[in-house]
Amino acid sequence: MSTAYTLLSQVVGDAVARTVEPGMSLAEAGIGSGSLIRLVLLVEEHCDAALSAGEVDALSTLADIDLLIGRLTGGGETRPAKEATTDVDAATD
Amino acid sequence: MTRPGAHPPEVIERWQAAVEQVVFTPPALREKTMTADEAVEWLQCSPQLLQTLTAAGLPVVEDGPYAEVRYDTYDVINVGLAAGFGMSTAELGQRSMLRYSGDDPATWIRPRDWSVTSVYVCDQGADCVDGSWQVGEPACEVFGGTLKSFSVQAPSAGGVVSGPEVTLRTEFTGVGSVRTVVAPQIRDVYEDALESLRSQWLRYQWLPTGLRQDPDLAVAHGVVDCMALSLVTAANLERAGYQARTRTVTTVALVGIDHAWTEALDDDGEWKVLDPIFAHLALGTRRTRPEYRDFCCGSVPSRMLPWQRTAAEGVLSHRCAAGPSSPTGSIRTAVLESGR
Repeated sequence: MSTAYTLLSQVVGDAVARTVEPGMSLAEAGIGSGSLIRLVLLVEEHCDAALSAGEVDALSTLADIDLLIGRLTGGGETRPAKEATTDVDAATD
Repeated sequence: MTRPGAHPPEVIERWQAAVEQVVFTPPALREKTMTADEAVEWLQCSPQLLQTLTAAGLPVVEDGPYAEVRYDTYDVINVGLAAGFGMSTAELGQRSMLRYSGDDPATWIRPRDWSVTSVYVCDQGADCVDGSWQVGEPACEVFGGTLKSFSVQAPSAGGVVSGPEVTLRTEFTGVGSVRTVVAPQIRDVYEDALESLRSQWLRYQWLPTGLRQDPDLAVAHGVVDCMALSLVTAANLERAGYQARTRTVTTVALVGIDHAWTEALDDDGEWKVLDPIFAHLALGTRRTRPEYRDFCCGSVPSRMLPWQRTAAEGVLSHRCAAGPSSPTGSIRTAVLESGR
């Protein structure tokens, strides 16, 4: 079970989260605006990092979220929330 | 994410103070209500706390078919904003919308390709009869952007967009620019507007149509939103001798929101965007870069879809048997691969 799925379950409950495939657009899966925003907050909390707007732009599926979490936590470098201001594009352009 | 069932006394006091601070919707201007369950969801509080807030003065509107307890939608939202715990749905939306203000300022104007899908539904829902929509057109080119595609998805007859629901799909390249206001008088108007918010001489609240489209009435109540303040700011610019106009824009963020700002024709012949509301809201968040205050006085962010409609017109307007209305859009945005 992926971290993104677990976080989504905390926001919308297991029954709804189970209907969302990893590659499915969260918006098209019917996840509401408030739930999407709360999911991003949980990702920030989980990673102990503040996401840039560019990073959030790239999150449309659970797979996207797992990829980001892996990059922020699996790479051995977790940015402190108060210092994280780098746009994802700046890192990938 | 769970809501606490019990709140410490200091938290309850802060909520109660919020009830005292909010300017509630005048009964004659009420247009939307919500159930107690919806209010709890919007405020992210316990049902017990909602009862406490009701006892403290949060007005109850009983207009359901079975006299179900309901609250004015704007009253609930504004109590959440005034309490300022940061977790109400409106606050989360604002934080999402302004997230970019905490990023590197170079990213604020970076050209990007966006897709914006906005769904507007008549408040009457399935009971909407003879519904028609007057829909605006994007105006991306005004600030150097490019419209790639725009479509209106709804039944239409004889050139009239009809039905209870309409979907607008726009793909565009948003181009931002740093613009500096030259005329001191224009800057003064911006600073005065921002100061009126910072000092709470005017409170920022979400407002019903009857208040937001009547800036004099809104100011008389001591409240403004983006639409009302953009109209006030435009009037102040004209009084100072400057040509001004207002514009409806759609913010591009995880959850988009329709917004309004003022534009002033500066002494250098260039139109400058004045957005004291966004400056005020962003300055209230920890991550916002200090440069954002000046950015909102003249500059154009690339995360905006401008429309060929004034602030008062909104992106669109609706009329049905129940009368005219300006439904709030559910807006989803996405960055297009080609723009990255």
